[in-house]
Amino acid sequence: MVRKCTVWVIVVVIVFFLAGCWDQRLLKEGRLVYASAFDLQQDEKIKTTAIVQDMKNGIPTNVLIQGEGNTIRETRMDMDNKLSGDFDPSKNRIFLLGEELAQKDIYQFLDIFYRDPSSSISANIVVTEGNGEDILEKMTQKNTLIAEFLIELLSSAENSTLVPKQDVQSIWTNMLDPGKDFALPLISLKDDEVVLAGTGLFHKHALVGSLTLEESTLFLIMSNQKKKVARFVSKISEEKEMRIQNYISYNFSKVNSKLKVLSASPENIEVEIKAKVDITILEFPEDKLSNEEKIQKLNSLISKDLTAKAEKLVKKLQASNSDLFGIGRELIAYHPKTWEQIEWEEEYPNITITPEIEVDIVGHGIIN
Amino acid sequence: MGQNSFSLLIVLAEHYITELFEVSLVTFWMYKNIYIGNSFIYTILEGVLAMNDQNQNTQKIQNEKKGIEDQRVIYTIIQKEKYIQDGLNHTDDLFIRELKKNGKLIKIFFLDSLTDKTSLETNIIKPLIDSTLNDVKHVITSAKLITTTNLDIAIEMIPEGYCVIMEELSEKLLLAPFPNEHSSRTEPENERIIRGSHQGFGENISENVQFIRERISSSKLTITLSKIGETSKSKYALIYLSDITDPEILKKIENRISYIQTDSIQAPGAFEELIEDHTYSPFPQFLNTERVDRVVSNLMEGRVALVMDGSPTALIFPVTFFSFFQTAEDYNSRTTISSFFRIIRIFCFIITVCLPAFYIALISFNYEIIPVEIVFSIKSSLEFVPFPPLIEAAIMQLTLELLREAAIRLPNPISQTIGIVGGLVMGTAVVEANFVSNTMVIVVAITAISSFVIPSNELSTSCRILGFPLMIGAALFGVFGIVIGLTIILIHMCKLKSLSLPYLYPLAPFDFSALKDTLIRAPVWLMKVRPKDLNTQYRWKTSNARGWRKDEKSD
Repeated sequence: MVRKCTVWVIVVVIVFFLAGCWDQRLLKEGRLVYASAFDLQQDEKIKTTAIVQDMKNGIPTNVLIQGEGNTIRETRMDMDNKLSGDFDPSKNRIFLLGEELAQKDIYQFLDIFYRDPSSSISANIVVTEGNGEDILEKMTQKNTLIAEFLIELLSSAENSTLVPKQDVQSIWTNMLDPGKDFALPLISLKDDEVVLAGTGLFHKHALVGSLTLEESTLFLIMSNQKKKVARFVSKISEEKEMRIQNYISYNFSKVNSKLKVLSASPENIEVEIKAKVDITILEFPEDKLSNEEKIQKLNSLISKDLTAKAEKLVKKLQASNSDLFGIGRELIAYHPKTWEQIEWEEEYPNITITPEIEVDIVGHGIIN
Repeated sequence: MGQNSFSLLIVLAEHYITELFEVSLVTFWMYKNIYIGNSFIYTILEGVLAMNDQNQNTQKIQNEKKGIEDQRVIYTIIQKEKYIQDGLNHTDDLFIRELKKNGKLIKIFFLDSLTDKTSLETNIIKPLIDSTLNDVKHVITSAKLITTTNLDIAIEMIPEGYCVIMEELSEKLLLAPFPNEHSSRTEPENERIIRGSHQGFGENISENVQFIRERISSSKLTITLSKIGETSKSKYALIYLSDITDPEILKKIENRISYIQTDSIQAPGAFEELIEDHTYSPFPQFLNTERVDRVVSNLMEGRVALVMDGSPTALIFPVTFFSFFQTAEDYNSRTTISSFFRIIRIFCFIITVCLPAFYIALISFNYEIIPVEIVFSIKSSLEFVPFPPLIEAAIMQLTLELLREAAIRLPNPISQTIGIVGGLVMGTAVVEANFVSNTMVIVVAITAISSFVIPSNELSTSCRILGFPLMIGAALFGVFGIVIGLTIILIHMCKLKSLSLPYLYPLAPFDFSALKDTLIRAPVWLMKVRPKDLNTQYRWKTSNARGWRKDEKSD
């Protein structure tokens, strides 16, 4: 009995000393990274720029830190050597991919995030025009710390259907899907100002082109990804005296878009994207919106304008070989035989995609 | 003999007819309500079954009465005495005073705990002895006097504070009330409530029995008085309802108590330790309470209470884990409100056990799951703390226990000072000196407050103590350590028995219908039967109490 007890006591005590907290990562010792940018150097070495956030007397401050290496991990090790405490990217909120790096295979660089269980795969991921480091080096932007500025910029843009809502985790499936490509927000430095420039188009793992913000909104509308608001401006006439009178601004209130494969023979693939949208008018000085005829006329004018823009968008997507609408996925799912026979990479730019947008004005604000 | 078998036949026939009627009733109901859904049918079935139970019970009583009325005449005073004793289940507080008057034997029956002995002496015994009148009725100077020949009425009246005077060679029984005066009302300090009875137990055993007897005026309420301790000879009483409580439970308790051979037992706590199933378990396996209404409602569930001379605490056994979350007030306030507080209490139990451990696991292992909005403020408050999180938490938790322990023993005015010194001065100073982080103070404060929400003092203390091993687990292995710790606690609770009955009853073994009075407090009219685990002699509690809704449907 006594022996048994002694054994137990020894075991318990040893557990305490042996466990030794080897997995422990103390919060107070970690230096939390808030944003990081990855750029490719001339010699294909990676340069990581990270923003480490600290609190000084209750006020958050940013510290910029850079590291170089052959792999992302190596750059982290390099940065850790320049930093007190442990370099810790597990609360990273936003990743910036430099243009040059994004044009290569981004999957190679993101591997580390999918492998490490503590990494923040819910972080936003964006591409930058030029190098990401230039943007982070601004440190502050319009009275806001750069990392927070970028995150807030993105989240407001996502809410107004300007850029697709993507994070590190959600692009993973798209990267591995042969039938669907994805787009990431595109940020650029214009006249020393950080601005949202549009959307970067990806094909497989690489950046292949970009959309403007207007095209990006249109794409999101056509793929049923409208968020809280989606504002848009169309040109409806040419001859008005003042420039503002030629335009109408409106908000998409209800969107219903359908992708239909009309013909799926390997020689001739025809796809139709038909969107029925309800809009409310936000700005139209000419007014007279109580007139039914006027409304019908506006409906057809806006529909025409949007359809023309959509056609341009589709052309652009086909030219850059980025299958954002997931037509390939549609073929895999419903026409597997066709899919097996064709080489999608080569076929996609040549297929026929007919977009059509039908507009219905359902509201015009509180004046009549 | 022939008459007997005939009446038996009638009884049987009656039984079958009622049975048949009920079955057809059930089918009719089911047919009528089939579209409403299974749950409704279950409730109906449950109700009918309960009614059936009740019918059998009342039938049993009626049968007994019938038999007695038939044979009443041949009773002698000795037989009558035995009958009354049987009727009151030989409860130990039934006293019989015998005296002889004009050569006739007179017996006076009364319940020691309920009756005012002085007035009994001056109003009955003294006149009876002094007077030479033959008729007893004229001797008694009591204001209220009932004459009956029915022994069952006598049995029913005795628990209400009446004394029964029985004369040899006379059918008549005289009943006179001599209820004890109330002693002053004292609310138990540790179990206060807002709405409901404010009566707490005193320290005198017969006074305490009186409190219970006043609330359950049933002849079935049985009190067994005994003494324990070779030297101390402490008085204790086992209280139970003989027609509800499972005799097996009682037998078990008595058997366990019979093994106690000790010089002295001072308090129910010592009793608890001697007869509980697992002494080393952190969980209390019997319920301690100073509230009369709590004891009474537990007795009505079919449990057994033990009161002891010199202690205002009653011990209730067997209990389940969830008994510790029930308060007397629950049954006194509205069902939604009580249910809300039940949920809060169970939530607080979880908080008390897990929160410090969870916080430690978060800040030392998995801080990536802290929302980004607060991670930086937590981090900044941790920046200058010299201790690892475990030590930090242990310091604060121990300080709290220190304050609590110090405040208990101090008189009220000084214990307020302790509150200010401990809470305000130390709380802020400790943080300002960077001994402990701000967030840790918040965590410990929330833990302490939640632990005080648990109605049972023993359980709340054991909860806080259970937090320590979990904290160590969290400091060694993170969230994984908490999971291991909680698993061990859960396994232990599943294994735990209170008087050989499962401690985690409505959850393990699972009993859906009993959940009505555990996680929530369902309306009283839904709790139609007693919980299964106590194996009561009959399970009926209420029938269709809201049957009036059918009558008023026209509105």
